[in-house]
Amino acid sequence: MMKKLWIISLILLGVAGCSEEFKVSTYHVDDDQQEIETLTKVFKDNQNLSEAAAVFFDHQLVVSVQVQQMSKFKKEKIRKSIEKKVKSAFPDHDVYVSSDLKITWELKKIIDEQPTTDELKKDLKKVKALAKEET
Amino acid sequence: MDAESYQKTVDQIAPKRPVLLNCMKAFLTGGIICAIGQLVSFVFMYFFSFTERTASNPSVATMVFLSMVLTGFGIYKKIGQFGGAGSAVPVTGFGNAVISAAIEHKSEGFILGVGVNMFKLAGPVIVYGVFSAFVVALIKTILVKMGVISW
Repeated sequence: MMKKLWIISLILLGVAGCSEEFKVSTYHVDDDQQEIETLTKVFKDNQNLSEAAAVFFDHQLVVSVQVQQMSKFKKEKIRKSIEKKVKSAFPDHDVYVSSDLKITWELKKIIDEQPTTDELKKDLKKVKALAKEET
Repeated sequence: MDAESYQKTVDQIAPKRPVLLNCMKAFLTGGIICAIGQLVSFVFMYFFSFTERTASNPSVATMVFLSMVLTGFGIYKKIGQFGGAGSAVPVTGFGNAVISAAIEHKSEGFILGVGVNMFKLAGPVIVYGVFSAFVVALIKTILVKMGVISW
């Protein structure tokens, strides 16, 4: 009985883990829906993504993407292709694309808090500095 | 009795090793150790300002420290008996190799015992780790200079 319960719960866990839905979270200071839609379309075109977060601020665009489990080996390649597409979609923005989990967490924190302009400037500076660290 | 027939006799008499079961045990043990390592790296990323790239160094240090403590309390020995290579191949095996050698030779004194013998097992790991890193870096530098790959 106990063994059967274990097996069933393991299968359920596996199924729940596999059916991952694609989530996009964005924050635009000027609330420009058209720009958000353009960006979302870029993400949706790529089948390998599992999660994406983006923050627009004063012609700056910080994006972080998470790839699906089996695509982790090609993470850098996917990041580069996303970066290229976002840059061509927003030529007047200073685009930064990261595939780091920590950057995704930090961006999501910013999106949840919806900070004021001054705080956002400081936060984005911190995120960018964090992403540049090598060791 | 020549070497070949001796080996045959040994094969006949020696009990059969449960290879598949041992592999499963090693896989499970190594997997659990690596899952704990992943958890530690998530802790460093969540509570401190480490990124996915920079979190690897403190996580490795923490895992080695944990295995050293477990070796001192005699718990890692039991894990090793159960998991075999699964507990030796991850970086925790390195901490175990250093501390178990130090404990073994403690009775010979701190300089000639612990100091001399501490890296008896772990020494080759350091020597060949540094050497192979040097060779790989050399090959990569040459390939980058030739323009085959990029950093």
